[in-house]
Amino acid sequence: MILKKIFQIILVLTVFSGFNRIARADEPVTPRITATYAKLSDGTKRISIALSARQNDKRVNIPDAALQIIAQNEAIKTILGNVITNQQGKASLDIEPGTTLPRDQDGYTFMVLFGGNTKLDKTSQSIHATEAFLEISLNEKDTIKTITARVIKHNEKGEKVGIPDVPVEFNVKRLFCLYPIGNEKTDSLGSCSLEFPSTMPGDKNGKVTIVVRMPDNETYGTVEESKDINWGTLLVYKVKPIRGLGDTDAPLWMVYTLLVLLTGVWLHVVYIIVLVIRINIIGKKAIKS
Amino acid sequence: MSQQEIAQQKLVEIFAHFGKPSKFSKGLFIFLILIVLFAFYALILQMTRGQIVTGMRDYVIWGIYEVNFIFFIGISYAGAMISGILHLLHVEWRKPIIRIAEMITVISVLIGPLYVLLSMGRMDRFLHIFEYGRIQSPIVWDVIAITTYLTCSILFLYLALIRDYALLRDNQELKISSFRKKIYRKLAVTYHELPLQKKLLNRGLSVMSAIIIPLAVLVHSVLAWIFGMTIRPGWHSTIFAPYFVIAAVFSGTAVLIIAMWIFRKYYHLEEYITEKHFKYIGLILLVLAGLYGYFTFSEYLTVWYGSETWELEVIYKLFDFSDYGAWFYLAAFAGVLIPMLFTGIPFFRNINTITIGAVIAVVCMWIKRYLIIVPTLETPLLPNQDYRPEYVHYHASWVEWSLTAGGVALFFLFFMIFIRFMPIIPVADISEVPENKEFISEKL
Repeated sequence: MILKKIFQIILVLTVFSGFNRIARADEPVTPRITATYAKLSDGTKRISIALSARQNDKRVNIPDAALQIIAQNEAIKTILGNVITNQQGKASLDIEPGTTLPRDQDGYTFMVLFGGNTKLDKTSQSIHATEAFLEISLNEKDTIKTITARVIKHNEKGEKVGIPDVPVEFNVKRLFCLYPIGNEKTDSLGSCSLEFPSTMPGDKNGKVTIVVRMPDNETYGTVEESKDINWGTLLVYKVKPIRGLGDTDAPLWMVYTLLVLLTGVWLHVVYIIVLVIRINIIGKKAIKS
Repeated sequence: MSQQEIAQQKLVEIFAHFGKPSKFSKGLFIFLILIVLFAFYALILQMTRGQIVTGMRDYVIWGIYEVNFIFFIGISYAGAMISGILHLLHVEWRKPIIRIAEMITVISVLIGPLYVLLSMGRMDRFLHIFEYGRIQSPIVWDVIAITTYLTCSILFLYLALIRDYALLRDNQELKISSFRKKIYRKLAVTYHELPLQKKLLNRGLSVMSAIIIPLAVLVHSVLAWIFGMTIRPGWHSTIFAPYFVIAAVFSGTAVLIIAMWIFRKYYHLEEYITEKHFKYIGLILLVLAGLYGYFTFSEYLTVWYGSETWELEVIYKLFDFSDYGAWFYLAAFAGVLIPMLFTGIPFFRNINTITIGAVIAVVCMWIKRYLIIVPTLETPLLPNQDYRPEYVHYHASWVEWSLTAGGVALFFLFFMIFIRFMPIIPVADISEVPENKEFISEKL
């Protein structure tokens, strides 16, 4: 009896949840905008956006959606540009160094707007980033090379103050991505240090690019700074690779093999042609005689 | 009746079938011409507008054109391997079917390479391969190998035809135009079945049949190396060359069976192409199907077991029913097991079932070549920033299908033209009475 009741309740709930879904099927869905702020080492400010929505109880990325990005404070609104999401529902806008942005007391506020369409509601998301800076100093004492990073911000009086207790990543720039060499946390003065690995390869002059980042901070966003120095080990290029895909000269064994094979086959072709000529001559002689 | 007289009589009988084209063959000829013309229109469209009219894009740069290329080169094995091996082994029952096999070889090697040109974005740059080609490139090997293969195939076919041309030249009963008589006179090169002429011709045929076998193996190995020598998952495999060779002989034999069925049925050659021929060639198909199945199993088991990340991306596309699964299982199982069933079990084995098995094998082999090329190219090794589905996923356009149909139509057209000038049954050969063989009595 109890089981029957439970079954009836489950059945009713299932049917109602189905109706609810059907009812919701045609209604526009409110998408979610996730925006992050990053200040890169060359001074570029990057707003990265991801647009997604729930569909059939799954979160799906929304491609080809037009988004507008605005920088604003209490007095001014400046349209920075429009972007379109890619197949992963992602887009980003780079603000070139030197661009004047409306700022508030301690940083910038950015607004990301999605205009909506027949399937998706209009929505917006704002992010605020307090402006922070990273300073790198590189010191070499005896054979020990040390990277010191200091994360700072300006206080109300415009003085530089360290930001304590934030994680900092130390990396070396490689061809395709950053190679992490260590993670530290800033002390009460906003500083932290890391010993540079002595075996890190550099270019032919030993040059490496050290990239220090404060990643994904809720208040400051991502802040990045880099410096070049010849601390790496010297990279010795192999003058003559054993075999290269783009070599203009074929290996000799290959040339000889090909020549032997081709000569062998084509000699037989010539031999057959000679045979046919001989058959013809024999026939002609027979006709004459 | 002397051997020469038997030959002359048979010649008249056989050529009587091909003397006047019937209404059906005229209609078929026009129909095939129309298909070729439509394909030509598609070709002009592709040449003027570029490859945007095809389904090929940034990732899938080889579509069904390359599939057709491998397919046609594959079926050329009918003449090269079947005819070459059977000739070297002096197998008597080969004689009535050997000409069909040799014709398949020449025609398919003439058509196949055209598809490589169609794959090229700039066809006018084809000659660059001769001007700037690098010997270490498998593409250059392929051009050299196919050119040599085509030359040898034509020579092999011509040598086998000399004696028949001599019969055609000397036959007074055949009513053919003086122009054709003149052609036959030239091609017969004063051959009069003299002992020394016969000896030289047989020597030439033995040499060519010995040369054509390793050459055919080399051609398809080179074709496989074009794929195998790249480090792409799905292609970079050490067994690709023998795998391609076995697949080629398998599909070539299957096409030979289909051609035998068509000629036997349409030209009433039941007296020459008997059930025994189908059973013998069917048994060869059975062995090849087994070998091909073994290679397929070995290739995919090794890759799947190795679980290398990039390889698995391709292999799961092939195994997944929402992707290429249905086609993969069809090609891997139906393409192997059905021909084996129809050729291996005596209860099912007859002319029609063997032919059905061959048709299934041919279709599945075409699908298999598609599965080798397209899913691999749809799996990019380096992710691009902007990879829209239409850039990655390949669908052949109507232009590509038209040119494919054009190639098939051209194959049949060439056959129709060839049989007007060449006896489809090697008359001189089948009139010979071999020692200790009941050859004539069996009408083989």
